[in-house]
Amino acid sequence: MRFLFQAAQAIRLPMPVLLAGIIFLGLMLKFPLPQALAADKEPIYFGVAGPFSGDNAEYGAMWKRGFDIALEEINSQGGLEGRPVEVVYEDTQSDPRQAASVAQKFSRDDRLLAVLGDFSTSATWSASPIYQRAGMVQLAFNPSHPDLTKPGDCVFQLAPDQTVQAEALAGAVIDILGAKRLAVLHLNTDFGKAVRDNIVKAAQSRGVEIVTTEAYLPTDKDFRAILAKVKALAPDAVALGSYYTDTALIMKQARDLDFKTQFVASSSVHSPALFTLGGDAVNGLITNSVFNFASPSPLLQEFTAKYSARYKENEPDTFATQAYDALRLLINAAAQSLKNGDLNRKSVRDELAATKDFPAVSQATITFNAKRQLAEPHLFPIIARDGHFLPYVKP
Amino acid sequence: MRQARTFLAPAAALLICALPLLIQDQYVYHVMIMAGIYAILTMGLNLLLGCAGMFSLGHAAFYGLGAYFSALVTLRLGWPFLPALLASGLFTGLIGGVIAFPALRLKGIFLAIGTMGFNEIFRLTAINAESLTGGPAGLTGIPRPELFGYPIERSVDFYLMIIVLCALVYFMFNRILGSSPGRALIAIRDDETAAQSVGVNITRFKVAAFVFSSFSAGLAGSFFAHYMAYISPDNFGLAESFSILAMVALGGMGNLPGSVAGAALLVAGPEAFRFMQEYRLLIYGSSLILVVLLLPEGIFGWMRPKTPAAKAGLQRTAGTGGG
Repeated sequence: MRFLFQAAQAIRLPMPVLLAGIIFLGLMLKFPLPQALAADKEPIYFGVAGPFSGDNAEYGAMWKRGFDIALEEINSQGGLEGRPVEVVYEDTQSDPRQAASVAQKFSRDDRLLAVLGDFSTSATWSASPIYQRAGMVQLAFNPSHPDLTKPGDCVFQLAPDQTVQAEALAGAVIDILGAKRLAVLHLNTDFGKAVRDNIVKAAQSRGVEIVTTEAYLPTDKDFRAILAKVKALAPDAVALGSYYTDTALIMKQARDLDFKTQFVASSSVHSPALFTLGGDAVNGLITNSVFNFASPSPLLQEFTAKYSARYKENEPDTFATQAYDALRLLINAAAQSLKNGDLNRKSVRDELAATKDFPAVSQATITFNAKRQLAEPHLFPIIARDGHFLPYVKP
Repeated sequence: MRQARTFLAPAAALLICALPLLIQDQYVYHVMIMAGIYAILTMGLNLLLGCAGMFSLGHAAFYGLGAYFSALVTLRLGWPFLPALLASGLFTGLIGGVIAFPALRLKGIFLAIGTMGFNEIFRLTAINAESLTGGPAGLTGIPRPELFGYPIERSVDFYLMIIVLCALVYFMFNRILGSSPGRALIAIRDDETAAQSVGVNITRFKVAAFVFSSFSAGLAGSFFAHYMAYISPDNFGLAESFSILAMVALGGMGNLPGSVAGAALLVAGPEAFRFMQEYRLLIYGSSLILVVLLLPEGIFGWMRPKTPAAKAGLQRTAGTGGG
């Protein structure tokens, strides 16, 4: 200890200089000039802004899996007209402030043709004006806010939006389960609230009574109080506007309370991680899948096989699947631009907007409408059973 | 030392103002604009914490209040930027004064917890008062500022604006600290009873410190809202309050130039270490610990003339900050 203080005193004067030196060094390292490769072999770059550390890091890790498979596919075929495709990752922790910094960094990086991300609506919107000014595509493939693409014609959405998801979920609750009384539990975030609003609207229009709606915070871990309250109201079904981490906890604690009811959840719980976290407790959960299990397209079968071989897991989740599709959409837009002999940010935007009947995994085919959202989103009911998601068929 | 100090400040000011001649990079401007916003926030918290010894963990709430107020009056009522900026400062200052009265019954760590509670109340209100604040998704399309018919759009313009704003706030706090109210605040920090015994009206000075501190936070919030054109409750959480606190600690408690430097370093630092991807926050944390350990008076602590009394006072505050 004494030595430490002596050392501190000895270097007190030069310390600020030293610190400034370290920061300066960091700044120098931060601006590496793009390596001028052979002109014809210069890679095609896309940026990825997402949560690779912090609370949502696990979703970012899923993205990386989807991207890696897409990159391997294209680059093993020799890339686009001989140019390899590469992605540049920047971590935003899906925090709006960092998303804006990354957007500034990406938009002045002339190598980047388009950007994938962000994970949350608020992080996406925080960056949108910056990408919009740079005329750069921001393909936010996870957020499902109905107005996500409102900030401008460079913002694209790949997930079926909340109104569509809620309609499908309400449909499952009513048509399949015949539920008359519904309780809603949701995350108190833009996502959770959108699920709640749309489910309440869809259910009420079909004459289902909403017995209660309960909000909880993303940091909540103990749901017993809420569950006890909901249990006392005896609903036929409970709808969740949650991610898989909280869904697993909620269903485990519901089992502890001996609260037997039918749980349904938004498609955000569709991940094998649900079973690792929730075990047997999540059996019987009904949700929607963006991809069709019952009759998988050849592309989906191929992707699932590659995914299982590579990551030793049974099936891909929504996040990896949408990441895979998102990158392939950008590659396709770049390929179309190259065909027309002009590859730049604007051509990628225009080609992406013109995407029509593009064979994909998270949907059978992808067509963007005038609002740069899915023209015909399809969702499929699935049920969690003994560690797997199975297509749900009415018993 | 003395000579170095008189030379350093004008040189730094000159360099900061001349930067637009040297730099064309909008990303660098963005980082510097954010540094400017945090410099204002840090100077405000410095007045509370470093000068008056009041441990507030709710600074991000005042920052957010200013941002939401400014966004709402421009979006809903169509106010121009300058009146909105000023009104945000005044409104936030007013709220700060109102909060100060009950908060001042609390001391030390209890004040910290009380203000932390205020921060959470603000964030939860912003999330839940959907019709007013847009809920968790926040407010979009906040208009860009316009000054005397000249639209502010380029990063350089925002940069020059934040420099002017920063300079004004710096000047304000410098005046406060250099005058008798500033010395009264330091007296309160060092020993409340002693200060009272020589006729310092403790409540009055403490409330005034709160008002000025939240006034500056409101200005920063308003500027932030119009610069980003989008705000959401995620921007004003408890983590923000802690980062501002870290900036004050880094710059040195009660040290005004230190506050500016602390803000600049902690905004630029994580950006500078971006090439290390996920590990950058590790570097950020460990360098903070190192600074607190090796330079308890902040990075500019060495610049101060050291009288025994000032030294004692500083060490006491540094001790509080560590706990």
